[in-house]
Amino acid sequence: MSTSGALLGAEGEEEARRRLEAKGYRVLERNVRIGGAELDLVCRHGDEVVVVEVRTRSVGVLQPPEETVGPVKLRRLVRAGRSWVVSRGWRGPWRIDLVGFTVDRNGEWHESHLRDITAGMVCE
Amino acid sequence: MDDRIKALLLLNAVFAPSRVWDLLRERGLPPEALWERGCDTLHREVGLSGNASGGLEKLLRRGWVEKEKSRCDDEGLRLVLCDDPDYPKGLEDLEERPLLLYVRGRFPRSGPFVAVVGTRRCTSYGRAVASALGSELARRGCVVVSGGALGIDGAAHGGALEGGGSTVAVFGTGVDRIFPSEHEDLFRNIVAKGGALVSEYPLGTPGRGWLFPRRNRIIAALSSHLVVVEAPERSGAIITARLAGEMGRELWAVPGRIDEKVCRGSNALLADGAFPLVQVEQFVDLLRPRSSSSEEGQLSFFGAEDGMPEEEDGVFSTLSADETRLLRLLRERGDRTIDNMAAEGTMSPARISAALAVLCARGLVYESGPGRWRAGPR
Amino acid sequence: MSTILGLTLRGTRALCVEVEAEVTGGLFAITIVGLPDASVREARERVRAALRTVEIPLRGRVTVNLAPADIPKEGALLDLPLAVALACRTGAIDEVPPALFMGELALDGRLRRVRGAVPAALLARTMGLPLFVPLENVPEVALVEGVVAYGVPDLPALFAHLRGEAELSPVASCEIPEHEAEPDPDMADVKGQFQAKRGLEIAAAGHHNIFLVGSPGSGKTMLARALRGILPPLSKEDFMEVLLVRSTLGVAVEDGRRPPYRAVHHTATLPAICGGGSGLRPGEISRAHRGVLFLDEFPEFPRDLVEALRQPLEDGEIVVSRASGSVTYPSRVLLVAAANPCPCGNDGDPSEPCRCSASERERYARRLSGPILDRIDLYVSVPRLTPEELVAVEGHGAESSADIRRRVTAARERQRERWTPLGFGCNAEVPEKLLRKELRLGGAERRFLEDAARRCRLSGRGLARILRVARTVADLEGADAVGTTHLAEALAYRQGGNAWTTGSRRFSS
Repeated sequence: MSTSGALLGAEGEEEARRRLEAKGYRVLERNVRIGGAELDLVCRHGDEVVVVEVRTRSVGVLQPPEETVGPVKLRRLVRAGRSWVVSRGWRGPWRIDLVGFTVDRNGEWHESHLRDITAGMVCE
Repeated sequence: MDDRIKALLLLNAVFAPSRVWDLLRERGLPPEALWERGCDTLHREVGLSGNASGGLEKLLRRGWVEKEKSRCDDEGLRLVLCDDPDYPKGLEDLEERPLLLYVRGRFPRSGPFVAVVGTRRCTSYGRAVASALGSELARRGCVVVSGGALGIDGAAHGGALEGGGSTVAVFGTGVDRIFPSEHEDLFRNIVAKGGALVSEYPLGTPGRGWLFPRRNRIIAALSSHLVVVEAPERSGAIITARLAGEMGRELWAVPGRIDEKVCRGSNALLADGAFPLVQVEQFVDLLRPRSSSSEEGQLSFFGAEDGMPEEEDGVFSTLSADETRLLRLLRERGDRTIDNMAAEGTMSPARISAALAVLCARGLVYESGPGRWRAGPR
Repeated sequence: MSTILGLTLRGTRALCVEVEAEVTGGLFAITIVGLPDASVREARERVRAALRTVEIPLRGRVTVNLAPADIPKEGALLDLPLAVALACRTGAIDEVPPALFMGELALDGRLRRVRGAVPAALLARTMGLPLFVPLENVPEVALVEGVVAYGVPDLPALFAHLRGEAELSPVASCEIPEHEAEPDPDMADVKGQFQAKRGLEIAAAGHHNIFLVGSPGSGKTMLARALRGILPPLSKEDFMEVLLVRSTLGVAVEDGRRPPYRAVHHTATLPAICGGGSGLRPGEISRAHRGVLFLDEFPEFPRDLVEALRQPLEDGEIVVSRASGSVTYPSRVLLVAAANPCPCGNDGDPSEPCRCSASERERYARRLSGPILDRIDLYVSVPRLTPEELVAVEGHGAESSADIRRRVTAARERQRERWTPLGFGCNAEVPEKLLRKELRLGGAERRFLEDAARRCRLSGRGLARILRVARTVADLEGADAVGTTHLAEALAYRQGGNAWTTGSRRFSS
């Protein structure tokens, strides 16, 4: 499971990169270990930097992928994202997106892209 | 301090029977004997109970007598002792007479003493009668005695003050207490108008249930006549009436409605032979036959003299036409509202209202219930 | 930096609030500073959602400052200026002409009704600025003269207006509606009860507070309700005061010039009656301003509440204070208090015996006394009529509310002529000293009064009350001088004229 899980994860990140680039996102970095967490993808979209967390699940697991990001993970992402922004000297707005994939039995990928998942959250 | 005062204060404070004092005198013992002889001697010689002499000792140790006396002096209270010449004669008739009385104000010396008693929870009719009675008695020089309670007692005292006479309130608490608190002004006025507040209980005695019936014997004994205005069965007023009857006082009762609980006791007294009080003035005439000199110029508010036709009733000559008509109407039948007076009379409601206010101010009519009127008792 | 003007409420006054917005880089967050309360802080979500409907995405760190910083801001009415400020900041709108904005946003960009539109309109008028309000608030704003206001249905319409694409039409001001409502109930519907009706007429004419005592079922509530129908219609100034309070509470204007009527139950809390709570809202007493405040079962009201009513009744305004500050609301009400004669209510009624014990009655009588009774000029007892009596009074035509109102209005007019130069409106407000001077009683009246004072043992205060009421009785009659008939009638309404209001005290003074 762990091997297949890791494999599926890597596959998901690749799939996400492809689809984001098609939407006009420019990927700046991948799998950055920074600030105590790993950022799957860091992209540039318009005048914003977007930190993308990718989640992939195969059907059978009841939870949709976007619900697997809990508050602890979210805080870690915010912290890591802030570290990235500071270390790379970015001064513009930035946000965190979530790209979730569900792979059905036929091997088809279903995407859900949630933008700015921390909006409304009290960040400190 | 006089040893006699000291001894009587002490005996009174421990509720010793008056017989103890009498025996002390009979045996020729000096008052000091109370604190100089031992408990046993006192028991043997004058029949002082163990409890009482225990209490006596305690009071002596605390120096209570001196304090009590100085408090009386500070408050301007007078002590009337049982063998003083000014001790009210009526009290001698009691089996258990008070050893002394604490008196605030002036205890009236003359005039027949008439007790007016009744329930606290009286009807407006009872209140009106008690007030009229108190007022008429006072005007004719009688002293109104009552218990200072709410209801009938208060109305009788109040009426007496209105009539310009003096009145005596016998308290069931210490005479320095104000109970009920609503009567603070009333009590002040009683003293100011030459009446007295009286109690046998030591200063500061709070109101306890059993003290009130005990004081009722004083009300009964002080007066030559006792009138029960409204009293339910088994009430303080009925106790007072019974005691008064035993002492040979003249007992009167005001007839009440037979469907009112608060009149049951007083009506029962009538059935048992009390004199029915059916006309205030007539009753007072019996006590104080009208002398031509003093009352001549005074206006009588309460009805006609005996046998006089109503037309010549003195009061009508002082009334306006509206007021006369209204008073006649209400004397015929009471418990009316302004609306139904207007419905049968020829007056407009506004005129009725104004005329009623004047009649009410003169005590000729009173409100028997919300918005209902009756002619006052005569 | 863009500055947009909004407002917040402080009592019945609107205060101008400057909304500044700044957007910097960073993770998306909105911070609002400048003493916002919870409802203002929640505006973040509403504003963001509403702006998205007009395709203005918010990015980065957004800081909103509400100035001046030292007054607390409350309410959702700051949503709209916030949205405008942010739209301006993000460049969605170029330039906003100076104006006041108020309104609460729905998530889909519509504007919801807010409280305080009238205070806002008054502020806009003094500042000489146009006002943008939600469409639903337009009816009340239209009643304020001389203000330029626009009713805004939703955010797109507002932005279109601000961009000059589609003009909103300004609110047309309208007259106070002459709501000729049928008095409900009409005085003619109340059978009998002459004295109570007459008492209410006097109360209405001289603005005297009145106390009704009567058994349950005697019609006290109906009489109190009927009082509203005999009060003169509100003047324009009075109407504006009433409107101001209603708007502050967010209650619709419905009654036109009819004076307000508020019945308060004895279980109501102190803030509900006197005002307060969060946001220091006006209470029932202010809602009844220029109208009738009815307190049924008066002895059941908690002591502290009754005490709290005393000052506002005297002053005509009430100061509501909390830790967050204090505000003043108007509270000139005509008080109608009602009580049963005893706890079971049957005391003195010939048809039903009273079942209360002596101590119950004593306690009740004590609760019927108290300093607030100083503020009550008229005491009326209301008999419960038996069926036979009701039949008997049937034929005697009762006056309609409209007839009585005509007399009341004329009497008010006379009072106004007399007292306005001295700075008072009606007899009940005039201090005793001045009243005595103005009365100029003749010898006969003086004698009558002295006699009455002695017989009824009137206190100084009681006497002043009688003079005041007598003045009103004379005004109702159109008489210049107060005569003995007026004094006699006034005497009928004094405290203690009936045994009920005074209990055993009657004989104690």
